[in-house]
Amino acid sequence: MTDTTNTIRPRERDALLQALRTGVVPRVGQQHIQVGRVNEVRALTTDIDRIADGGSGTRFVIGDYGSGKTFFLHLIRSIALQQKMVTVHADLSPDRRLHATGGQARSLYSELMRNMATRSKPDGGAMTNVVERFITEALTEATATKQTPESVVRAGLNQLTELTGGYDFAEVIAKYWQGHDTGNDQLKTDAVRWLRGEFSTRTDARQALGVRTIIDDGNFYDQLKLLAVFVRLAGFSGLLVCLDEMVNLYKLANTQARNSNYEQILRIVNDSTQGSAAGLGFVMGGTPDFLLDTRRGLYSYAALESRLAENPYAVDGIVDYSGPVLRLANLTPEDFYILLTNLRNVQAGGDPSKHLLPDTGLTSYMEHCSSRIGDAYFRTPRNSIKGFLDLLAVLEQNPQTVWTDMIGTIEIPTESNPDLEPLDTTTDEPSAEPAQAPSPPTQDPDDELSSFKL
Amino acid sequence: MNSALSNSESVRAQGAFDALHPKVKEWIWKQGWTQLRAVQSSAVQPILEGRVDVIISAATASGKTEAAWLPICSTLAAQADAGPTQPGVKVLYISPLKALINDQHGRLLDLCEAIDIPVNRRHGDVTGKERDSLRTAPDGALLITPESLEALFVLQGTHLPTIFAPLQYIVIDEMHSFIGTERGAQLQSLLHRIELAIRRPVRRIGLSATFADFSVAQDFLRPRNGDQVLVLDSPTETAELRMQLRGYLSTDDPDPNQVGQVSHPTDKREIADHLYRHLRGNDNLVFANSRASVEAYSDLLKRLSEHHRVSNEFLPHHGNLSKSFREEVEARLKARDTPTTAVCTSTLEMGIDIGSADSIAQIGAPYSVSAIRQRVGRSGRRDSPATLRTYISERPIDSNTHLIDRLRTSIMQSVAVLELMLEKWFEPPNTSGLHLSTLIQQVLSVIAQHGGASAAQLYSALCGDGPFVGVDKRMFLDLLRSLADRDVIMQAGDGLLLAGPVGERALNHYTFYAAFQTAEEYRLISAGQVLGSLPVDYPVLVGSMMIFTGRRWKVIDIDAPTKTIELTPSSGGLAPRFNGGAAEISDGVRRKMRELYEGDLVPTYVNQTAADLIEEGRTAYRQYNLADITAVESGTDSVIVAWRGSRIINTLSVMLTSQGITATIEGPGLTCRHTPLPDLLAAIAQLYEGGQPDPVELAEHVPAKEVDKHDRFLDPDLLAQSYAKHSLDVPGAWEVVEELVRLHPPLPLAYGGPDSERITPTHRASIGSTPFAVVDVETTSLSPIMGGRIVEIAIVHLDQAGNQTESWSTMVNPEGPVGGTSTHGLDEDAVADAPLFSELLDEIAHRLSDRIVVAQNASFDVGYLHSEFAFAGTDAPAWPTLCTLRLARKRDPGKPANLAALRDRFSIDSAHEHRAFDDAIAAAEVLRQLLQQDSTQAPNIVTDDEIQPDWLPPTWPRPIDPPRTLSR
Repeated sequence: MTDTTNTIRPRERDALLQALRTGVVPRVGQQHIQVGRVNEVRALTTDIDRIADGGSGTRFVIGDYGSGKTFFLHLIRSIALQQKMVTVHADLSPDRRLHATGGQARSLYSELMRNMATRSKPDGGAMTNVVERFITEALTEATATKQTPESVVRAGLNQLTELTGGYDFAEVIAKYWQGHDTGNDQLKTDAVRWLRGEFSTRTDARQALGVRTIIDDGNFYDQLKLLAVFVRLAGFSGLLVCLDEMVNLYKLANTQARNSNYEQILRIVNDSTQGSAAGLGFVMGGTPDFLLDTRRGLYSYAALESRLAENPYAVDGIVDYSGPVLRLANLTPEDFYILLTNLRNVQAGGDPSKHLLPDTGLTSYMEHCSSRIGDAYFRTPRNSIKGFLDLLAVLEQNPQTVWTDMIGTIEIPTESNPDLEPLDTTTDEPSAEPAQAPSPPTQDPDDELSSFKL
Repeated sequence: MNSALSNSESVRAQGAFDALHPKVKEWIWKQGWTQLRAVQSSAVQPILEGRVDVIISAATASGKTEAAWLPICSTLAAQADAGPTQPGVKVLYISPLKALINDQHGRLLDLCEAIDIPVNRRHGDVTGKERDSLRTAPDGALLITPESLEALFVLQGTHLPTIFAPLQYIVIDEMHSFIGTERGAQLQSLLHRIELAIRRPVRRIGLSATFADFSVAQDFLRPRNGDQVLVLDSPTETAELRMQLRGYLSTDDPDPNQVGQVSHPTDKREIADHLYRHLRGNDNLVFANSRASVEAYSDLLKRLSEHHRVSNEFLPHHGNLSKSFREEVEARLKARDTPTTAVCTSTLEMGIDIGSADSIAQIGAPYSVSAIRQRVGRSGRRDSPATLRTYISERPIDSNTHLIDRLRTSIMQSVAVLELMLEKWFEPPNTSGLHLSTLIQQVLSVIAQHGGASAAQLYSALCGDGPFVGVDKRMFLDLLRSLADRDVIMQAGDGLLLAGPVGERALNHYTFYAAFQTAEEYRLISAGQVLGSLPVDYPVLVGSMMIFTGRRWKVIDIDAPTKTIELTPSSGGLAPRFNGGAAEISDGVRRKMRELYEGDLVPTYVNQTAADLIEEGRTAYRQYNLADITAVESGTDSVIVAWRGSRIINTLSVMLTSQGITATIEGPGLTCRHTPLPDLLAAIAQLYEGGQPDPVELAEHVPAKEVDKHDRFLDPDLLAQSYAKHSLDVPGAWEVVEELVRLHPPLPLAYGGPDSERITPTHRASIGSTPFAVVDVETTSLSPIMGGRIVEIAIVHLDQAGNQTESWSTMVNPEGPVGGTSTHGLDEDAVADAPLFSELLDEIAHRLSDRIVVAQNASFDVGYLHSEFAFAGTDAPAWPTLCTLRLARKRDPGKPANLAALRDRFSIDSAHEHRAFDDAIAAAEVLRQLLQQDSTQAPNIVTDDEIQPDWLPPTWPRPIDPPRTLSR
């Protein structure tokens, strides 16, 4: 995947750099910076081919914090889009879960729908396009088979009504068609809003669309299955659902809530192994804790443990990429070095003559990071990448500067939950604690706090 | 603040009024108020500006609630005028009581309707739509308890920033009731966490009773920045207070009118009668100190009503009664047309708006000034004088009466509390606690709120910048480890801390939200039978005595995990009836009591019986010469009386325990059962020698240290630290120890006092080689410290094998009155011609020289000898001493070992008891038998270990002329 000789288009270069500098995973051009993981990508590509062929599949991408799960998931997504699939993705959070009673599952569903992407609309918000595509397909077919568009649409939707909750789903699509047919834009908007799970009360949905149900916590997964069938009706090859930050389920403090979510995962795993969810694939990213912890991880749920157990022969360098669990190894300093080389190359637009930093600059930057935040610089590289790109940006815009002077001045913060940081009370004078002036050994317990291990 | 207010007050009031929003002004006009009260007008400006935190302090019913709400509503109204506001809660009102919230809700609805701001409330009893509205459409003012606020953090942690986004003010009602408590620590933490969640500070307004020193309240409201909190202390409006203190003497005569029913003692019947005659027909509150007495009095009053064939207006009200019953009583009190008297525990002390009562009655000694002030505040709200009647009953004194009861502590404590109240004194809250229990709760709560948190984040959010100022990093890490050991928390691979199985169970249950213990008491069990339960908030030690259901019990086991205390009935000695042991009495009250004993004040508000009781107390005080700090002998016990608060007395008791002396706390006294005073003083001297003990090490001597809810998750070390901080006052107790050592300088005692090393030893004393001298003395009183003298002495010589070789005895002229005649049978006439001790000194010293000195309860006899030697101006030699009492106990543990019992057990002819010669002969016989018992049948009792010290002082030469002696 590391192709340093090709030139990179300026649009791609800018999008890539901008995303990385703000600390998010870029939506395009990942292949320019991807490091290693050829086998893993191949395994997922096989999965995607199978789903596009009407199969199903569930993969758990398991890796430590910062091992590049999110990046990997995005890469898989972009491959799926190339395979004419529709993708939806979302991060789980305390407010977005697979199962809930307080609206958190609907919230996850809405988030997924907001991020719905197709090849022509890779940045999300593709729901309207998908429905529109269905209509267009129907119209084309109607012209070809000399039927009325109405009857073609109805015939297609009949397939949906077989499934749980399919009647209302079909009804909503029919309303969209009606709106399309009669030029009623409000009806079309309402239909899309319903599909995105944005109706919060049944009354509203009934008034707007005449359906008795809405998408809520209870029918979250059924709706995804309907959607998978629907996107195939619309001419796509399948639906890929990417769920990241699954560790949030592991963190749920309520035992009951956690187990309900694991039960939902079990349903998904069962459906996909039995092939009863045609054209629907799941990729879920989580930490080893989320999978392996027998007290609160997936393994705490006995039925899941037996299904997800890793191949006992796959140890010590022997690998098996066909199981439901895919392990991502941590990045190594060597990988990080290649990553920096790639970044330097992207920055130079793929032209080695424009490299702003010699190879020694890369190593001294790594040394600088290591002295500041230790191993975290290559394990959770978000901040060290950001710092590196900041450095390149300065060097590019100020040709008079020398990189050796700049490296030492770059700040690389450690990551933490901003909500728990102390308030910045600017009104306070800095000399607020005269009583505790002679306390030199504060350094020691501080370190102990940040590196605290039970 | 006060001086600034008193000038041109009405001008200020007008200015303040003008600053308010027109809609608020309109509301004030509608209320028919002519002018804002002082406290109200002074609060307007600082709250409107919103630059500082404010404490509004004023007497109950002086309008301090409005003082906060008028400017707050004014701000909100002005913002509403400016355009649509951000959705979310704008004012948070936190109150300790659900009832207070319901009451405030009613009052605020009117005011907030005027400015079109919704008022919502949320507490355990609020359900349904009102509850949901907070999540779906948070707005306006929210009235909440700390517990429900905690629930918001745990259950809706991620929504909090949205719910409280526009929050501007936090009002804390009855703030003084939070200070120094676990609940207060929880509240502080929640306030801090709200600010962390919305990423900015919010103005805090505390409504509080008056403090002498506001710095405690300021530090509470804004930890670390207390000095920036503005205090608005309104000049206390001196309302008229009518007071009466009535004393009663109880007897156990059965009530002739109530045959076949539960009979109440006379004093209760008299008090009930007085209550019935004076309270019926009005709304009153009668506070009794316990639920049992609430039940007893409501029963008596009900019977009186039946007897007089009138409807019963006296209803009980306490925490164990059902909600509907309590609410009915509250409604009756509130309605003017149904005269009702509620007999209640502290449940009605605070806040619940039951209108104002016409009068307040207090049965039993009030234990704190703050509580009685709070209670008085419930009466006389409508510009009528407050009325307080206090009823105290004491028992008649007889020969068995305990010293503490003789002092009439109940009545004196009542007078002290009432006097302090009149002086406007107020207990300072105990803010020394670490609140580790609440810290544990908050750690779990933060973890639940954020779905996990790192150690560094938890520390910075709760301790580093948070309200748990007493916890440093080291202690916090220890706490986390302690929690992990008990499965309360666990750690994910990246260092994130999560709730472990135990913590998760706690979090999933609604009881988690309360920081305080909900009815978790120790069960008291005796011989498999449950006697009842008791909240344990003072040290209970194995071997100590405890009073329960009017009986005295000995603690034989304490099981902290199952919260049970096993008791066995304790023999002998009447328990003092004083029942304030469980409640914390502050130092100030005790010092005031001493001042009252020393003085001659008889307040005008006491009745004749009470005045008599006060006089009796003072007589006892003088009789026992109880200065500031004293140790006295009372029967076979020793009692330390120190006019100090319960925390210091508790600490002293733990200190004595560390020296092997078990002491029971009885009011201002500390009773050491079956401990002769010299033993106690020796222990104290030893304690003193060791220097001031470390509080944490001291705390390790207390087995039941788990006081607060989550203390069970602390490892022993942290628990000891927590206990030491909160419940021990070592410097205070040390003062008492120093004072005792000063008043009773260490005598060179038989059991190796610190002075005994002055004399160079010549050779060792040992069983089988050193002969014995058995000594017995008769005395004028039980202790030389109280001026006791020897009136008769006998010395019996035994050889190494225990065979009697010689005996000698004489009466002694004590140069003063002869007490104890009933014991030893000697009076002044009998000893008038006897020699003085100084004449006998050389003879006695010689007779005891080069021998092991033996006596029954040796510390008593040897202590007297030391005292007499000191009187004669010389130091007594440090004789090696052996005690037959100890030997007898060693042989037959648990059996009585007094001389009478030993005479029986060792078949010694019963001559005359308490004659020096006969007693010495008896003790000598006990020793002989013990020495000569068959060593193949039983282990040796008399061993060298028992001799203390184990070396002989220099030989005392025989006097040239033997002194004259005088026998009976």
